[in-house]
Amino acid sequence: MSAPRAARFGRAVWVILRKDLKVEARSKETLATLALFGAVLAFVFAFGFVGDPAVNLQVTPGALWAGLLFVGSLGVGRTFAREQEDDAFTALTLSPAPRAALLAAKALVNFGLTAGAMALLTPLLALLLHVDLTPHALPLAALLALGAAGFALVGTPLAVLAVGARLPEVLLPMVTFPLVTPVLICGVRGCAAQLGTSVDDDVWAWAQMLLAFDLAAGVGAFLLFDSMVSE
Amino acid sequence: MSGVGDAPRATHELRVERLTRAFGEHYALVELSATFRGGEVCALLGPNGAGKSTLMGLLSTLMSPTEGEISLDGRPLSVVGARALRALIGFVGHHTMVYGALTALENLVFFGELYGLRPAEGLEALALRRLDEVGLAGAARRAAGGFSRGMAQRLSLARALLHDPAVLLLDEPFTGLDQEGIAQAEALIADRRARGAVVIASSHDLGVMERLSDSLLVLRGGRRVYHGPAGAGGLSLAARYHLSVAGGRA
Repeated sequence: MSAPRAARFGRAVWVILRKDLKVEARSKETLATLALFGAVLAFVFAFGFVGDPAVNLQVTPGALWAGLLFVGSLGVGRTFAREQEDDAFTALTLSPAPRAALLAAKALVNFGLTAGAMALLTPLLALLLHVDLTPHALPLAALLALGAAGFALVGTPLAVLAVGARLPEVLLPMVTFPLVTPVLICGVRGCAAQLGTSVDDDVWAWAQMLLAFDLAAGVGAFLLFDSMVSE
Repeated sequence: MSGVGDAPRATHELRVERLTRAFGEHYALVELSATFRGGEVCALLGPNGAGKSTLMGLLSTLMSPTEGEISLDGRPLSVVGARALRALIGFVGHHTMVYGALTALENLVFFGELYGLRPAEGLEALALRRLDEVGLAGAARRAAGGFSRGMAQRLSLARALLHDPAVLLLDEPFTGLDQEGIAQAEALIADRRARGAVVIASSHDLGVMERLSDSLLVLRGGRRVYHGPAGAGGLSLAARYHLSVAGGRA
């Protein structure tokens, strides 16, 4: 990509991203929904599993990644919700801005919302399950960030298919969940390796696999998005 | 795209050749050939399901044709590029296509930035000027979500005209507008025509279309049944339309 094209692309990403953040800052509806949903999820896990600290530590990776799955799918489902009101999505796609910039901006918003919700959910879960995650904070944050990125890169382009579809809230998880299964497996195993609940695993190997998945999902998303937007 | 002037410019010509669009087994548009010239308003008329919205969708690059070709100034779209054509198009559709959470001014500034506009007067000044043209200057800093249907339609028109498009595609542009709004919209469309824009407008308000149109394209069942001057043969546009739809071909 030439420098002027890269600058145009970057400017378009920033314009869409800033608009989404401005709208979210005014309504706070997606972040509030995700935070509330995450808190409820943390309480459900805590009341279901709280007991032996060793058992709590073993269920923590599963609880964290189940949280990411639900919070992420909720956020992805809202990706184009505002664009559907009064069909502003059509005006976006009619503009000469690169459609890849639309994907990049929306994926960044999804990543930010999921990562933000997980930043609230993780300490709450640690508190309620009585597990100390502070020694593992950085590796866990890195794994969850890679997972949130993978979820955003898979879910965002698929969310465009739900625009105008019947029962989008059913369609989107149906197509997203099978595709993010590798993210969940790598994430759970990586967290378990980091927390020492699965002695044979190497956390770095799982992180590398997550990174490879993110790269592949990103390339696929940017290659396919234009044809997914066109009718 | 950089500056946005309101001065006269070179006129364009939009041509479709054997344009066909199928949705599964159903053909919404069948081998349509037509030329739309700059400096003319073409009324696109037809009963429900005639293929008007499909043609608008194809011309705006929102849809891809099953067969056939769209060309701008003799250059096929495959050469010009869909993005280059999109930069020249202003589109008003069935929905207002604006963000309710943003003010009218923020909506226009957002779309202006997306189009890469950098007018000499400043983007905000241009947006305010467009809002003034559609009678929304007093509501520039109000959230569009609180607008009436007519006000939202005016904002939609301002959005479509913001970058001074060379091709104006108007699908029911007068929806929800009061008489004053219709008069303003008519004046704005006539002004764009005078400055050489290709204007294709679809509306069920035949009275307004009669006043505005230079040429008429009538579709029925996805096929062209008339394409020619709006007032050909001494017939009014409405009479020509009804005659064409009733069975006359041209």
